[in-house]
Amino acid sequence: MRMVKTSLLTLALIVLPSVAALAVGVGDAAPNYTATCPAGNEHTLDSASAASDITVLCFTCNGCPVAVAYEDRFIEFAEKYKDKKVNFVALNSNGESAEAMKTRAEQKGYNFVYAADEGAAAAKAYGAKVTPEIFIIKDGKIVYHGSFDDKMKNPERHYVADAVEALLAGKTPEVTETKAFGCGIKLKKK
Amino acid sequence: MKNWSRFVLLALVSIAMLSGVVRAAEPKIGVALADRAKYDELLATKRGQVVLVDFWATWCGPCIKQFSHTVELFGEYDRKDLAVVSVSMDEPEDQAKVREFLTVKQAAFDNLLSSYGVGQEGFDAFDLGDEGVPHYKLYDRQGKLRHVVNNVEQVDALLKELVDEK
Repeated sequence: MRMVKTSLLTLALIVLPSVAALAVGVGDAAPNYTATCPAGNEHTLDSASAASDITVLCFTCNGCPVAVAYEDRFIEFAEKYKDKKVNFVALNSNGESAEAMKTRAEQKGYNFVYAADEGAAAAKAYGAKVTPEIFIIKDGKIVYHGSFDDKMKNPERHYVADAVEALLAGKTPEVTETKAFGCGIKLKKK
Repeated sequence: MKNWSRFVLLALVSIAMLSGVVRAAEPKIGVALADRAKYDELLATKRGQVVLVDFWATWCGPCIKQFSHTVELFGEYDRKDLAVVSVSMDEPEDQAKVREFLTVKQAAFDNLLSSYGVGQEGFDAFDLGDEGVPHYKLYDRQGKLRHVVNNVEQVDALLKELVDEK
């Protein structure tokens, strides 16, 4: 029994730091991920990047009122930048069903990919903790991480839009790191 | 039959009176709008007590689930040992909704509602970490911030440790 405990502890010591080390920040290479669209097809960062110059990766979900409050802004953003090779991608890391995701996307008229991040693997790799939480990726690197804007109601600072505008103009975003706020992502296994 | 009806009526009246008495005895739950300065002012009045602050929001599922535990902890300790403060990270206009929740939970301690609204400013002002809410801060009797945790399971032992530091 003691040997089993010791082995488990050793395994935990090996695994835990490596999991923690997976989280990335601004300037780091963006980890590829594989997510599943409600229709069953796979979606990866590589596929998103192949179709665009800039990928705006958003960790979100159906149930968080803060994430829900941002849906219209995401749709508006995706529409505004769709012809500028900016790809808005939403990942659901909270284990909601494909059916629930499909229904939500149809109800709101999502004009972007909304894929399931099985086991919150992508959230863990990126170190995403809340919904909504955004990573902007350009040339395979993370160039912005944080919140979509500064406030759920009547925002004054539009971090993601400003960063994308700067990138489209060939500049470095003025603000590259902000604090994301919202509901916690269910990172633990049930 | 007549006696039986009278008995039922009497029982109903008694129950109604009793519930009225119980309700009257329940403390009135208030919630005050607060920025960081008001939060610090309130905490300064708690010197000599260990302070547990529960940052929560009505939009946060785990916060709602865990809030009862904060109320239980408040009941477990002597008032001279522990003060509890809750800070809701909801929108200021949601004050009625926040008060309703606190009333249901019988949160008979100091309840604050962040005046910043849901956004970065409030999370920064109250030094909430990357993991957002629920978020607990534990201050010792001297008013020094000693522990910051997101997991309610960690609160009990840390709180006991601080209370035992007499």
